Amino acid sequence: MTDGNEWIKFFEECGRNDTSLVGGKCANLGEMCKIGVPVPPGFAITTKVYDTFLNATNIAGKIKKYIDESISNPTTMEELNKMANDLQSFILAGEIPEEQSAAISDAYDSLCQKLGISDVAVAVRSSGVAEDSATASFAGQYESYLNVIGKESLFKNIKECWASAFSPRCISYRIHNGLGLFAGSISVAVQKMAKSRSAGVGFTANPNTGDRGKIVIEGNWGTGESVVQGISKVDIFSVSKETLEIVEQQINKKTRQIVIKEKGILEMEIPENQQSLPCLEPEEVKLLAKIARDTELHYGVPLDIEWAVDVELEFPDNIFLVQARPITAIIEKKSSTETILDMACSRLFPSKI
Amino acid sequence: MHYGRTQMPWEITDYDLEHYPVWVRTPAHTEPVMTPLYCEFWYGYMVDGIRRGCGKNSLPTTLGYFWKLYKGHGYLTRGIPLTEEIPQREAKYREKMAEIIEDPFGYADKLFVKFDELMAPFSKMNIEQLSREELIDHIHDIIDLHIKSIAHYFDGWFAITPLPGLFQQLAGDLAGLEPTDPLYSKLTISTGNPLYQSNSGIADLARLALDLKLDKYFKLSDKDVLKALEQDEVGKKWLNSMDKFLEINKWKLLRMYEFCEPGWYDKPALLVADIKRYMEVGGVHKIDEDRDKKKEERDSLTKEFLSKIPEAQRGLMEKLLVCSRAANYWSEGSAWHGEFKRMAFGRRCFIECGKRLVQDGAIEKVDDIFMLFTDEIISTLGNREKGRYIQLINERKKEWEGYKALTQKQDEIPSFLGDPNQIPEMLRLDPTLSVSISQPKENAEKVGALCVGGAGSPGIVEGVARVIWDETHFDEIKKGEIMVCPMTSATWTPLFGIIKALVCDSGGSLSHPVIVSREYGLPAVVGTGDATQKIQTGDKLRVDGDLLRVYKIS
Repeated sequence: MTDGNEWIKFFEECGRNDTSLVGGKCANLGEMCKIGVPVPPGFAITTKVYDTFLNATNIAGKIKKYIDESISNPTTMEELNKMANDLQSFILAGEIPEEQSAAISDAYDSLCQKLGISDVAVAVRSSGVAEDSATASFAGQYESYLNVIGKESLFKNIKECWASAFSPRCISYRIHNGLGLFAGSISVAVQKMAKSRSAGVGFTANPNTGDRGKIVIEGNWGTGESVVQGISKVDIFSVSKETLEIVEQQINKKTRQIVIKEKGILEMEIPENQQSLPCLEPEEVKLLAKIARDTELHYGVPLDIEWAVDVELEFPDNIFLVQARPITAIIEKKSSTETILDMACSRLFPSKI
Repeated sequence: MHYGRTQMPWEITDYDLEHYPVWVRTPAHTEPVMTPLYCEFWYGYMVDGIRRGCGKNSLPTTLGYFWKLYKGHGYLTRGIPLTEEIPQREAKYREKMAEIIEDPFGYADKLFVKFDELMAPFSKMNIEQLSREELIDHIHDIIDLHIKSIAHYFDGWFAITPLPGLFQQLAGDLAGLEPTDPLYSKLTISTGNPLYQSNSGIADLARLALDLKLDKYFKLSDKDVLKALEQDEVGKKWLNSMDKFLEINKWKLLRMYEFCEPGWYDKPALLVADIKRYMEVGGVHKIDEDRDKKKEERDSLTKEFLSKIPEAQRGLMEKLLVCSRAANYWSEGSAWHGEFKRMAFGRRCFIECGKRLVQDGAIEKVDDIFMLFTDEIISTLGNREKGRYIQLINERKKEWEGYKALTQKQDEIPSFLGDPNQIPEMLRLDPTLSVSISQPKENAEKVGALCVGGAGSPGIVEGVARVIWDETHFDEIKKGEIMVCPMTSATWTPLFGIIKALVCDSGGSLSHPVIVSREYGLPAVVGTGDATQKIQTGDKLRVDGDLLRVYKIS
């Protein structure tokens, strides 16, 4: 078993103090595990693996040499692209050293065993140490690889993740911000792909009214992308935070969904007979609301979550949060009286013609 | 020396026609044509009270509806604020209204208490004992009472009445609920108020008379009923109950805004007429017979209605619904606590003045007093001047009769003065006008109806028409008839308990006939413009309050 070693950390072993080792994303997933929030299981490949890889294969030296002899400060897009391409090719050509690749391999086996699925499909995402930090946000600048199946693909995609640290965008970002070219070591999150039967978003406070008494859950069939992108109507559930009872639900006719295919994602029609069915069972709604409520309690601020219901697993193990973050722009609660006054002035006494 | 005054301030002049884009005729309160004395009170204290009440609430885009007379008949327009003061008005409006929205019933109740405090000293007075000079004091007190009482009235009116307009709009937008839907009426009925209680008091007296088998006496003419009852032992018992009722409710004149018609306090036989009407329907006052049931139904329907409103708007809709009910509560409650009483006290004062002037020989008949203005009354009351006003009164009477004769002549007093294309814009900027005015959305001919209305109360019934021109014709109305009239006011409310449906020339969504018809569950079509011209007593009608149409059927 690889548990507890310096190369691999399963999410449940990560915590907020491990950011420098597992990156912000994995640290956060670890926090969620600790408080009992179900997240798709998986592990972090620590920054030490990345650092060892760069040094043991002398890729670091190659990169330094490249900068010294070739381009150090690209001034055109063409130069930047060439630089990125060259540096990334060093990484992709490198071999992960024996000890580390064995550790990754063991961890993957262990994950498959735990889930009872051989060659389980995983998502491979970078988890930067500088990510989500206040001074230098790399958020969204590293790649995610979905639906990765088998070890061969896994190793390839891990290197892709590392290489993404030298994408034109990232290089340019580092130069712009006066950071060293190696700034921000990278950890990689390997996480079971949630095979979404349904997915969506949720808010532990109403972002429009500021009402903190209810949890609002919006969902659709397929992955949560369709909800985030707003390509279809969604089902809306409003759940009392106190009693966890559903106080209101709108089951709408949902026409389009986004599903994960072998390669990438696909937007497609929802079968006619499925369109008007609720995408969540009442027990799923309540559990999801409970998870959201407990998570909010832990973080102490209203949260915006992304969730998924896994088609491969049984209730109650099928519900995952894939993301939880503070609602950044929660509107201060406007009283209904204020709103009435606004409307009285715009509708009854329309001074602005 | 008249310093250039050749016109009375309430007359619509060329300036008014130029300054205001359009004036719309309304019979509300101003028909039958007002007597000179009441003109003075109407224009001097009532119309300026509108301005004061609206100013206190600072409605952003209107100074309140503006009411003036053309050839003695009432016309309305919007009081137009300066464009540059609108932002300031809006800020003040928001501040004031925040309080009202939180507790509209509380606001109404507070004003009811103020009315009661104002009225209390007047109900106990023995006015016959006043000397002529003390009577002059009393005239000043009466004017002061009117100024103060009207201020409270329009404070409440402008605070509470416009808000149901917003509820109406949002109910349509958010729930597809139109005001002509029966559900709308069921949701907005208010809880009991003293005027409805007063009306059920009439019904109680009717039932008591039936129970005591006194109905034979009520076959006599109104004024003989009471005399006959006094001769009967059981009758005396009943009269006791009537006295108790009058003790609380007698300060009410036949016509809401005029001094010249009697009231229950000086002519209890008027009450007899109302009691007779309720005896016809078995002493049942529809509105509170099943009030508890209605309230229960209302509360469960409210729950259901609110559950269909999107969550983000639910809270505000609940508040606006309460405001809508409060507007109904205010409408009749303010009449009972304030308007009826100040009017009755005014009449009592001027009738006493009339009596003194008749004693002096300054006028010939007590009722002639209504042909004078207060300064004229005051200037002769202390002077004991025989013959002073006889000629003046004859001239004024002639003029007054002349205006009255125009009432049904549309070419003389048209339905609007100015540009009718401006009416929609005027109504848009001044929702308070919908107390009197509405515009039909359809053309009567096109839809095959006799007339169409601009507002109403839901339900469809067929029946026989009875045209009631004014309050002096109340005794003509029979149980189950469809009442057709120019307009109603709070003094008409007892009739709502016995009629089957209502059609009015005037009236908008916030008007008395609409509010009270909803409370009574009567179909009504108002704002027809010309129903009293097109319909005659005896015509068979179908009144469709859902579509706001009136059909003639054979």
